[in-house]
Amino acid sequence: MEAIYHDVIELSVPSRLGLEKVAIDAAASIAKLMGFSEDRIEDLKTAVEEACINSIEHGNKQNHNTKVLVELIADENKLQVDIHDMGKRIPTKIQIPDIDAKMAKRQSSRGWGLFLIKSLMDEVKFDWNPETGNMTRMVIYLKK
Amino acid sequence: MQRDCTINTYESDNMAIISILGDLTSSVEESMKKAYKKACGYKTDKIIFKFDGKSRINSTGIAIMIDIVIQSQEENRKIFITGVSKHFHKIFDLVGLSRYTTIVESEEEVKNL
Repeated sequence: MEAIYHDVIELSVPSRLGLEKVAIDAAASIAKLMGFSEDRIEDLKTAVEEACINSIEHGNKQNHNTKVLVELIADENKLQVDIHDMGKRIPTKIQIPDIDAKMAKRQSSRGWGLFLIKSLMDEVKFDWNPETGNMTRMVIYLKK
Repeated sequence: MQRDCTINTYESDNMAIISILGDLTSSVEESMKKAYKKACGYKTDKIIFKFDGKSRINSTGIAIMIDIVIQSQEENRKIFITGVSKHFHKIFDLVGLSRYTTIVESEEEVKNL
């Protein structure tokens, strides 16, 4: 019988664009150790990238003195990634991106980050409170 | 900290090729615009974005491509994409960009189109 485990890894990343790569690589490494497929690891890398960029740009406003906290929680059958920043509430109820509207210039060409996160992860939750800031929780399950 | 990205534009067999070695993110926005502008200087309506097989694309990269495709439609140019990974292709499908561009296996394929 396999051992039941619950490993938590924490990273504290300065709010500088480019450093999200550290979180992406850490999440990918853990997912690989857990046995996720290459396809799912690629999904995870994109979702972690988008969540970190949101926290760096919109949460912490690229203030290099602030940090983005990344918690990677590995359980027997799932990987949970919590991304925290110290900023004001990031709007998470946004206009659903529509490629046809964007091509017709009725929507800005931007605004794909949350869509990608929601599309690629099994569970997503956004939370905010004035003391701890924004939290994006993303979960992917091992489906054996 | 991001993978270095090198972008080159050249003409080959009556097609404009924009070769992208690296990731399509905000850091290459200006380089991509310049590359597209240079490609438009060639006498062809076929523009191929040739990725390196490992290139990744994020939300800003998607927006960069949308802006280029909008411009290409206004100018009656056709955009082809090649050299993309399975995940890159999946992202293009997910956001719908594969409906507005043609993803091909190689630039050879475009010659016959």
